[in-house]
Amino acid sequence: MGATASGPDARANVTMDAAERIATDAKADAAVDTVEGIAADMKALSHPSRRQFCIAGGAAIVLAGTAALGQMTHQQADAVYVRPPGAESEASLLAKCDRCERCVQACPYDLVQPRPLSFDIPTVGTPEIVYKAGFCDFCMECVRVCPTGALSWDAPTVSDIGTAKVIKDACVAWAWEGCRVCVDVCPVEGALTLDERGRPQVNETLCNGCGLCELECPAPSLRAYDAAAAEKGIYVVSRESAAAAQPGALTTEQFETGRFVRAEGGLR
Amino acid sequence: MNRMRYLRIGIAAAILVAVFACAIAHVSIGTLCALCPVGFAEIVVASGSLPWELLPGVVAVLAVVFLLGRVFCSWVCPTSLLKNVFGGKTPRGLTGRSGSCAGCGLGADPNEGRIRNSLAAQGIVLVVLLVVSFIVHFPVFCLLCPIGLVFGTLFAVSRMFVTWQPGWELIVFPAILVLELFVLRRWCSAICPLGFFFGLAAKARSRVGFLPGVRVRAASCKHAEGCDVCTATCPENICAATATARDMEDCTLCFDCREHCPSSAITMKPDFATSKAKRSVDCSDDRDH
Repeated sequence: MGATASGPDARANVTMDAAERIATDAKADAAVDTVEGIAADMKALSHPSRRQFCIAGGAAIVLAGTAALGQMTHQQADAVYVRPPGAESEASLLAKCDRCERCVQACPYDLVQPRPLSFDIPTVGTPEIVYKAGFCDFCMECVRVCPTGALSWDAPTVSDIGTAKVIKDACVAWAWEGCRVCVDVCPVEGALTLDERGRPQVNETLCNGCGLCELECPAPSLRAYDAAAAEKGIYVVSRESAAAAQPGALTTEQFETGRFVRAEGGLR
Repeated sequence: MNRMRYLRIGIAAAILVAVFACAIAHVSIGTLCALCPVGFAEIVVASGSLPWELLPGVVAVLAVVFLLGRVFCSWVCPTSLLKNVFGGKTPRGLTGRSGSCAGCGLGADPNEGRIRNSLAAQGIVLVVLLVVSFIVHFPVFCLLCPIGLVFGTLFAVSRMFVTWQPGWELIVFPAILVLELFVLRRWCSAICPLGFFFGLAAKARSRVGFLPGVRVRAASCKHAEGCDVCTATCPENICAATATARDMEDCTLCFDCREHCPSSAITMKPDFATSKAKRSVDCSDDRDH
């Protein structure tokens, strides 16, 4: 609290000030809502003071810096992720998504998750599919609630979010025969079959990336832990990824190096 | 004491809790980002398409600001929540915070020396970020927006419960938030591009004049006797007694002044006579120098 000064002088000043203020206000009042009033506002907007300019300039430099850094890491990473149905392409999703997380909230199976902060900075918070708690039954809740058009009904991915890839050195059936869990759970007729040696093989044109095989794969519980091999014997990857571009089953190394990397000449 | 502050903390926190609960209950209300005018503008320039479904929410928020004033800033924004919980506004509050007021003193008009919200600075930030978004093809500000970072942290926690893998954002997001809110203290008043839209809505609102807002009963106000309680409590350092229409544009209707006014001189009633006398167009004489 201020108000340390007192005495008749100060009080007289107050009255003077008040009188002046009322007079100026009354004068100014006449100009209210006139063109000059609005023009004055616009003038104040277009001629900021030096201090305002410094603040805004500083903030703008930081913004531009973040954007440049983001753009750089994004190009460098050139990554692809398994996105929810309706994502047209990485570029279109990134341009339209404002990370409102409505799709994340809408997904009844906790599949759609915000991307964590990674080297690919601009993708943080955008939706990706994580088959940890469920699989996609294409209920389309995420597409229905998306307010920005980042997930749209027109995109080819509304019925196809990726393709499953068998990992040779992690799949139990590749080592010993007998395991057919993924083939049994696969909801798409003919997408997963057993070859003549009892190993699962993916028909990549039929597979829609629902992820039930990845979710149910029992490899982690059937094998001893091996840091060199992938955890599960089958994973869903983006169709634009380098992993998807290689035919047939993959080694753990092929899978891990190509999972989130865009295939040569892939769609941007 | 500070009933209004606790009420504001309660409401803003309730919104965060509701959003988090909806993530668990699978109700897609979305975060505040689904109502964001800046996000809307960024998506338009970054993608070259109009996100029609965002429009109703954006218009609704601007309409609320037009009708009620910048209530979003003090009652809804998670940024204010953090500031209300941890402090961090320079001259603020009778209790706990600094409690001093720069321009106070008998015979002085605190509004003269007040640091005002700078629509110009916010406007420059907005323009730059739209240009940058256009160039890099993604909404840039979403990476830095304190509101987005608060929700980002929240959703990183909810993601952790599904994947059991904590991400770096759990550390990085709060760190950026601290930088923005407690180091760059002028964030809300001079940088926040959302504030530019709200500032415009508030400007339009002050031209209408009779909409409800903080007003002072001249008969009971003790400003002339040296009382500056409203200025000391106001987060924007507005002296309600001498505030012009331009000063009231910065008011976020937090009601701290109303709560602390020793003579209960502050009302919310639309008072045509007072508002008429108080209206002025001193916006050209921007005293934020």
